Amino acid sequence: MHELDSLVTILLHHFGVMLPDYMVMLLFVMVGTLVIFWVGTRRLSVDKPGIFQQVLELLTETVGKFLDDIIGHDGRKFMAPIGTFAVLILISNLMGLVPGLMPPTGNIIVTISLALCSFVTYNFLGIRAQGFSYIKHFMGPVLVLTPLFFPIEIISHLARPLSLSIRLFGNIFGDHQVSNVFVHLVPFAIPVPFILLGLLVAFIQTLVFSLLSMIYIAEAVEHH
Amino acid sequence: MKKKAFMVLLGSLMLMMAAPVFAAEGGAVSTGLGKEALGMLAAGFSMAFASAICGIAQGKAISAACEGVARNPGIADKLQLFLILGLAFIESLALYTLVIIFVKM
Repeated sequence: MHELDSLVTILLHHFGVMLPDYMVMLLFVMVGTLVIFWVGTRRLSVDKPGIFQQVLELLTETVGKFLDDIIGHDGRKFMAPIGTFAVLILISNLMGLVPGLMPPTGNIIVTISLALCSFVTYNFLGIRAQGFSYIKHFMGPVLVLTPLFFPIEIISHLARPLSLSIRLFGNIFGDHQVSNVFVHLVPFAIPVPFILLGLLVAFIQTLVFSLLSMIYIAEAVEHH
Repeated sequence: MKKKAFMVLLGSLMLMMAAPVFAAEGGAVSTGLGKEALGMLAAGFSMAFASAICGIAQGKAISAACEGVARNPGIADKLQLFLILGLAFIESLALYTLVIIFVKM
């Protein structure tokens, strides 16, 4: 099965810029998000909020509510990493529904790097919150069982970025392939349900990735 | 009921075994199935098994969640969170199969 390139990548290849497709699309998402947010947040007002400001407030409030629910009363400290994951992954996923663009999260390299970011973040936050006693998370309930628990815990912690990355990649890639196949089979009306399904998957996978990152952070920073 | 299922299983197994015989019918030499064809067969069957059993598991999870909400509608919001998480975990098992298929093809 051949990989299709997005229109932006094809355009860049014409100008002699030979970057792989996922990198171009990820840069596209990053630059686009920065520009949109910069332009959108220049005129914030309390009295007369514009549409974009309301959308942003909805997003922030949703992420904040989840953080309060899962991490606890000081959960909003972690708004920056989780919000970044949510915005980046949501926009990347939705990019798959635009004709001519490819979702950058449909590439395993991008999702592995996102999952590694999540992994490093929660370990760093755990160590910062607890210092050396963070290692107690890996030692099981009693000291006698430590040799038994330690390898199991290490393996289960290492499986987290793996499962995070493969889940995101598989969902987006698989969904993109399915709608691709149906568009090629019947290019009229039949692919619409699959595109709606793709919209649903884009939102749910964003939710799942950010939710799991939150749960990992909550587990790492809580005191034993 | 069990006997019937066993018969169906046996029948489908025998049909699978019979495939090389169909292939050998036309040509003079029996070539059997090539390596790529076998790979494609395996890919299709493994994805079918994975998604079927994953579907059963997700159905069980959703039915349990629906029962819970029917008994106590107040916990619907909280339950939804756990349901989505659980469904994501179950679904990722099928996705591992998909990834393995794409790696091996």
